[in-house]
Amino acid sequence: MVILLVGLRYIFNSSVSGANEIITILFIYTTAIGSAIAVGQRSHISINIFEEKLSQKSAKYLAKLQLTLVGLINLIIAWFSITWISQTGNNLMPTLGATRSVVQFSIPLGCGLAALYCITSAIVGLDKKKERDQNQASSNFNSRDQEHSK
Amino acid sequence: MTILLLSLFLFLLVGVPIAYSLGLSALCYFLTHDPGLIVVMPQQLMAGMDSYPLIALPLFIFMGQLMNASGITGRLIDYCMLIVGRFRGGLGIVNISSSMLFGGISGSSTSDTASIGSILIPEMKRRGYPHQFAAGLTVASSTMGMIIPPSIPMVLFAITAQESVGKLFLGGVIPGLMVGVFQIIFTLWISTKRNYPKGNTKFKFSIFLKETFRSSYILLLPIFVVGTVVLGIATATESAGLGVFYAIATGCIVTRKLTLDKFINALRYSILTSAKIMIIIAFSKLFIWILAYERLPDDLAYSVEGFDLSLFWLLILMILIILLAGTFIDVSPAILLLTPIFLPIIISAGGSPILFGVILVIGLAVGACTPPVGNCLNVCSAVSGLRIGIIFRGALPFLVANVLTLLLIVIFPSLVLWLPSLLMD
Repeated sequence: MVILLVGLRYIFNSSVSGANEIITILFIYTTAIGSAIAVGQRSHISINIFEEKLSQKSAKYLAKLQLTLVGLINLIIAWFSITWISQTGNNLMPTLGATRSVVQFSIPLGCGLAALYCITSAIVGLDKKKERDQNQASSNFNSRDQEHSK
Repeated sequence: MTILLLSLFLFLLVGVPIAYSLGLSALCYFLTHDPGLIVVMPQQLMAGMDSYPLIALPLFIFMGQLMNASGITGRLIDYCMLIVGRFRGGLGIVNISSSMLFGGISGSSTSDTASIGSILIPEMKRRGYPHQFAAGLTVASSTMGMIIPPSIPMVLFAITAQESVGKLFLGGVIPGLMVGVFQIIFTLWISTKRNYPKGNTKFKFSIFLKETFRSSYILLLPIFVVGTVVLGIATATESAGLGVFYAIATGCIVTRKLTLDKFINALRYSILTSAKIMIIIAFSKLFIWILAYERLPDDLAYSVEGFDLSLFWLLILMILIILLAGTFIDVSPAILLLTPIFLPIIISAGGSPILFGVILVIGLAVGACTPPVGNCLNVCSAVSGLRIGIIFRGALPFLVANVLTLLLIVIFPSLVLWLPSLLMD
């Protein structure tokens, strides 16, 4: 869409009304859902100096603490965003004319998904999840190995 | 304020992701000061993400990934080999010059380390270079990816500081080239001293012209991306979008190596990487809101004025803090946290935001190559199989080039400011 807009402006001297708002909305949703997936993959940027120095057992407890804290902040934000949307969600976007709640909903969605990932990890257990990931990685490796030997 | 900073330190220390550490410390602050303000949290998160210029970030990441997936690395290395391969330590110089060109395409140091390192480190080792030298040089030369435009950290700084992306890009050109030239000089010196091998390539001007033409589709991309922004043809976001289009066209028509699988992988990687940076931006907006609410940047600027430091010493002091912060914090969060605190001080001392932005990025680029938190070191360790400490010792002589460049641009700010004022003022 970004490329289309530049092309339209220079070649046809025209534009698509509300396109910038649509691009921004899609971008916000991508970020909200993407960051929730990153919580699930435990791939967010963090400082792990302290964690690396701990024993395996202590590191496991620390990982649980991290999950709890991340889940907690996401739940709180998701909860308060509902109040916020109910207060300001009816305001209209300047070009599209849609209500602001369309874009604001990305916050409870992203935070809710992230909290859900944290709760699921806590229930399934980090060990089992890790074991499952390792099994999957080794099966991928084995299948790649077999392909190479063929 | 003490609660905010102490809790942030604590959450970072226990390994909570940086974005959520910022959110949790803000929550601690609200709970202890005014719980009624908690409702500000979702509002500030949205304010942090609701920005059209920020869309440049995932698009630049995607552009670099697509070009990489199109197999440009091998061509770049061959091209550099032709020009500088015949000197003593030639492969080392090829490593640096490839990083210079690759920096103009990817805008990221980690992808530079991964792509160039995976080809050149084994090749250098095979031709008799010490493994540590090859890995260290790859890491140090990859810092140019952040400095030479288009640069993702520069886009991030420009948005945080509300400065012109084009001016920041132009400001990074001369310092980026200086880092490269200094690293080449160090490589030649070390290679001569330790008698590292020479390449057997012969330079012929006709072949050089032919190869330049064959590689022109790569060499033109940075000029095209930066040029459209500088000439005002497109905004940074639009320019990044055009860059993505160029990369897709290159991968499908010119190199024909961009398959659907590679395209989807590049897309997935770009979305996740940008989401991880964007969520830090969103939470840092909340953190910055509290800093402004507490008037910390103004108070700090006022306190620093009391010390009566000249701009030169102020910049030197900041370089030391940036280098120290860079060893512990990753580049993007460091930009988001340090900019709102340091920039008002620099402006009140009469300094240029563009100069500060370039200093910040070069300083943090060094941090990306230093343990314990060094993304480039981690990537290089995975590529080379060497331990991080060994790679860092190998990179140290070349990182001096970055520090030397930092000192020179503090002494001669026109090295940064000349090009932006010539082409954009």
